[in-house]
Amino acid sequence: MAEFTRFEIFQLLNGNKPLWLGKVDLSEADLRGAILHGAVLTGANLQKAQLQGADLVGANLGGANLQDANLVGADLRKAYLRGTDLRRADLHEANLAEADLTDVNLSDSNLLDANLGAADLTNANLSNANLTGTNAPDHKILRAKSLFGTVMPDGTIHE
Amino acid sequence: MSDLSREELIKILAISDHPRLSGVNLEGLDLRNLNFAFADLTRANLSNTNLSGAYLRSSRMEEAILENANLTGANLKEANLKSANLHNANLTGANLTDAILFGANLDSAKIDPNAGYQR
Repeated sequence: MAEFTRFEIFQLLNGNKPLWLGKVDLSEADLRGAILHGAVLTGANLQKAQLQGADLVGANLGGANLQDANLVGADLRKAYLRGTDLRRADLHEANLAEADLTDVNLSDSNLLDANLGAADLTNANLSNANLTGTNAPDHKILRAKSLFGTVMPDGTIHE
Repeated sequence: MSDLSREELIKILAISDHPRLSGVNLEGLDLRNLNFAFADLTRANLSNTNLSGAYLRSSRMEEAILENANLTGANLKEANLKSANLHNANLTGANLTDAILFGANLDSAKIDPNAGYQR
């Protein structure tokens, strides 16, 4: 977390317009419960960021690095996640309804009980991802480009 | 070590009607008479702070840590202290009218029986 002090992060979170933080370094930042509604975080570095319960509705996270990020219970409805790197991210009970997950890399991620209703998984990398308890229909999951070792919604491992 | 100094916190409180401070660590700070009305202090660490006379009306303090906090004369009207830790906090003269204390830990906390938590 090189760019911002805690004070600057709270200052940003208390601004009165949607955040525009393309390409910024927020790696390992504590953003639990943060209101990032509609924020532009294109290409941002959010590696290992703590985003539990964060409001990321409609946020643009295209091409962002969210490796190992904690997104437990985060609200990502209608978020734009094209080409986003979510390897090993924890998305337990996250809400990804209507999110654009085209070309996303979700390998080794945890999506246990996440809401994937109407999410677009075209060309997603879901290898070794845990989709147990998600509501993604099989025909959507089968649009992914890689399903090696993926745990399907019913708990079976894809072959 | 707290996340913000008193001066930095005052700057944040000044720019927002609903200050977003969830998860903030303010441990040990002098927060006397500051205006936290409608602030989001969910899970904030406010242990050992001096919040006497602070205006905390309608603030969200679910799961906040207020151990040993001095809340004498603080206004906590309609504050949400659900599951907050108020162990050994001093609430003498605090206004707790319509505050939510469900699941809060009030062990060893000082509450003035004459305080205005009746409607």
